[in-house]
Amino acid sequence: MNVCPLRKRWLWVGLLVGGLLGLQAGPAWAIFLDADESLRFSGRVYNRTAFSVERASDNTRLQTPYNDWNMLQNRTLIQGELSHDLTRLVAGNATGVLAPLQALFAPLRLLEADTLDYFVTYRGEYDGVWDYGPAVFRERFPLLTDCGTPTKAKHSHPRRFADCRHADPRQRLRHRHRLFEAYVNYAHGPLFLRIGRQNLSWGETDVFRLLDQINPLDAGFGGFLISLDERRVPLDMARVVYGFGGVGPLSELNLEGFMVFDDKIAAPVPTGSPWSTPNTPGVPGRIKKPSKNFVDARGGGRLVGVWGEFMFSLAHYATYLDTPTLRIVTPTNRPLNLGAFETAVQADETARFLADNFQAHVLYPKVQISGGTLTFSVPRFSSIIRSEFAYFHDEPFFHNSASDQILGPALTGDITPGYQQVGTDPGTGQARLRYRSKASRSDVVRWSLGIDITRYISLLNPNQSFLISSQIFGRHILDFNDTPVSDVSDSFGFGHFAAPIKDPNRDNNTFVNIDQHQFIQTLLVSTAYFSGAVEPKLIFLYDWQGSWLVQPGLTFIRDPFRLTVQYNYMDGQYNGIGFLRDRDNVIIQLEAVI
Amino acid sequence: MLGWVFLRGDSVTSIFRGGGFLLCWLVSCVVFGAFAPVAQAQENGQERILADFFPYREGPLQVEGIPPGLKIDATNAAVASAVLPPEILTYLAAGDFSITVQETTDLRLRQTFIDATLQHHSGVVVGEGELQNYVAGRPFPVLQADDPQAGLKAIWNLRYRDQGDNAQMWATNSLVNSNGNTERSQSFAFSSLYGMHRSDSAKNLPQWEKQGVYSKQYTRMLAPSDSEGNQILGVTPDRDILPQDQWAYDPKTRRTRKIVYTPYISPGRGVLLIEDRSGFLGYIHDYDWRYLREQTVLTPGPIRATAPTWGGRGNWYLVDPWELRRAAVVEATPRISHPLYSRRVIYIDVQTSLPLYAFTYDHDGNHKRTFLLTARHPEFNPWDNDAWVAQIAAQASIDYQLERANNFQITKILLNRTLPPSQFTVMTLMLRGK
Repeated sequence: MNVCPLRKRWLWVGLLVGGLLGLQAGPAWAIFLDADESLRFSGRVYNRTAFSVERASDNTRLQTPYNDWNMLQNRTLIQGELSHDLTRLVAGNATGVLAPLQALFAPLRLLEADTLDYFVTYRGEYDGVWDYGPAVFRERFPLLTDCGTPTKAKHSHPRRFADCRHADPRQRLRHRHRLFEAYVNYAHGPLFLRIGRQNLSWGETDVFRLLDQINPLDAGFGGFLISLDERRVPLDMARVVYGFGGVGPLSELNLEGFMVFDDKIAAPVPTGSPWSTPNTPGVPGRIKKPSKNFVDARGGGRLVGVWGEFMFSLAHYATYLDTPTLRIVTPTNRPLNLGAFETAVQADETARFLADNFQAHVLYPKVQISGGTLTFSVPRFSSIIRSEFAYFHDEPFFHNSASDQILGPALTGDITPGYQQVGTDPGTGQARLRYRSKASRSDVVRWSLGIDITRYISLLNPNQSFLISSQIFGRHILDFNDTPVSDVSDSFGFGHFAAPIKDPNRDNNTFVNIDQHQFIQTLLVSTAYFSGAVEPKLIFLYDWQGSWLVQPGLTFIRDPFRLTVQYNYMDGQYNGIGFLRDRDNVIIQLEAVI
Repeated sequence: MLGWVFLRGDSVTSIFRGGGFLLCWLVSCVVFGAFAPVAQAQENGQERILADFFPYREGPLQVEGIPPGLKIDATNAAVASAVLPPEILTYLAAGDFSITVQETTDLRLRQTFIDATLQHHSGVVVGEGELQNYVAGRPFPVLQADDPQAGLKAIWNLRYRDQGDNAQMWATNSLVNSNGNTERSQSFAFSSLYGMHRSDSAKNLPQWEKQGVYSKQYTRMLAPSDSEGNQILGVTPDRDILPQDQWAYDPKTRRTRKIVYTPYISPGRGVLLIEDRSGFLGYIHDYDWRYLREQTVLTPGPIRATAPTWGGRGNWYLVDPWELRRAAVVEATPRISHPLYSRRVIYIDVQTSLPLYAFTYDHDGNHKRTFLLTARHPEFNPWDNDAWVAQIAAQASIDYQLERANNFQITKILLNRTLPPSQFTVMTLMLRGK
């Protein structure tokens, strides 16, 4: 059973070591594959190991019962990029090995392109934690929620429970090979076109995204502890830019638009992954993805201008947010029988009944976002001020409720909130019910104000400057529902806006309330010692709801290697960043670049 | 004015009618006698200007004891004591590197630049952080040692040296330790386009002139892969007193952003500051400038290859043959608190205004860094450039306190090709981003 993973492990290790040995320290040269230097290759490979430094809390242990100093991740990434400038091939004046292909490209002269090139990226990923990590990841398959109430016994011996279906996140998470990006660029005069699988990022903020909601993020291998770019999921997209040049007082004005025909969204991290959100509702989930059609397409535009010291943008577009809305429903064609419901509850088979008759729809509603950015420099203080504003139209929100809200009809015999009678069972005469949990929409305002400062602090580092970057983020839900759950629990109603995560501070009987106004502060400080051979960095995030992340890190650089050691310390209230407060970890990453 | 009055027809007629030949002779003597010194002075001034543009037309520089072909190393370093600054001589004598002497190279600038100098130099004056009445060419072709502004004028000459109308370059920058091992290196392409003060003023870019933009620079990282795709757009205003603007595209965030420009940071965290590049690329108005002297120095000679030869201790030094050249020596003292330096001394080539070498000193007055620069020989032109301009080919930046050096070299340069201003826009960063 374990032979195969072990072999693969050594195969990967061998490939990695061989690859690294093949790299020699020396000047960095771009690798051109042809005499014209039009075909360029670059690549990187890294191995990242994360160790937990604390034991999983009780609510996390139900899904992923790891202990302190367990390996959480051993991720190897190989990325290769190829860019090819076709201009000379099309013009017919290429030399070298590709010259014979000129005839094939000759018809493209009709395009009269100033620029014509393509770009391809391959990404291969493998996480060895599923093969040679702790037993909890290797052997104990985490339980799906249809297994009923999770117990220690079920975790220890899951196969003894015949009714349980088992999730096997290994198959989804252990390796992945992707044509990550592949697109063609075309430019003619002020017109630019990029078609293909690509990433597009608007806005000015780091860490958290306001206007930068076009590409979904993949949280499956470290969440926000990983850089944004590595988590972006490229989409099949057409992007067009038209440059107006100087217009009136503006030294530059550009109009940009995009249209996405892709069904990828920020898929939830599957239960069993150490990076999954803990304590979600115990109902099997079903992800509702957009379709690849015009109705479900994402798209929009923005104006970008430069006016003296100021750089600004105005944008409006439609997209699918990364944070889904959860909606508990009964399947449309399977209304539940009230009598059977009552019987199951009385027989203490509630969990089984819920799993069989209810579904959690993970919804990614399309949301319109309008906003803008404004950035300017303050040379006197060697600073840049960055600001961003985004207005989210009709963003969906989950409602809080008592844990027995869904049991309302079984406990009272009445049609409680969320339920609707859709008929009568001809056999028993019992009511047939359909259920739909409440979800609301509200406009939301998000903003950010940031400052980047570059300056020397001679006392700490006499030879290199420090980069200090700080941002404050605000979120304000305009049509907020703050009804306490205690006011609606008697009527089995819905209340306060909440995150669909059970609140362990209330014995998991309700969900975690969210605040109408949220503020998060970020601070990044970095510098370099030994002429850049050692780069320390400190990141601090503080959520004013009362949770925080402290992320000190140290990177050692010696071409072609980068060795990073980073500590992730999270703590505070069980909300926002604090949902992962039991995931403190140490990351060691060795990277080779060419 | 005087001549115009005397040449008016009526006056001339009356003089000749009433005065006779003697008077005519006297007038002629007065008129031509008065103008002769002016014309002579103009001719001398022009000759003086041309003397600096062609200092080697009478033959290469010669210094006794330093003939071409001589090899100078630790054993005979003293022979070069008169032509090497102590900051270099010390390390030569210590055996850090050796020098082979070659004959002085006549680096002739483009005739259009010389013509522009002759046409426009008069009337150029140094203002507050800018030049007034400057059009094109070398703004101050004649430097007088007793002129209190001579140092400032020399650095303006370096700023406005003939670098062509535009340039596209491919370069590498490596950080090398004392063992000669490369700790880090970067490969990049960059281009610059000048909107104002071109030798042929008709080729200036009207919109940039209107906006007061002297030049724009575009840089794109090619390697290593973790910084590949980074782009920077820089805008240098003609007025030195105005801050430079910069925008950057970062492939890690996929964003195009305005970024802080400060000449005091180290590009790539190496051992040189942004202002240390090309002799001096900082804000002129941040320093007090003092002209020290003009002297003959031994300096890295122009290379006849795509890349220089690096050698000596740690491979820090430019070891292609060096040559004797005339240099103006200028000292800069920061007006405001400088994070690293207390002063800087720059040696500027008299013929081309190219920087030859520079030295910086820490706040205790100790020599901290040496910057050695070299150009490319006019006869080495594999890229079919139409003319030779005063662009550097390589720069060694040696930090003796940190015991590391940045070896910068331009491996390919295309000059004065078609390079539209639209390639120097924020839009370009957006489009060339990943």
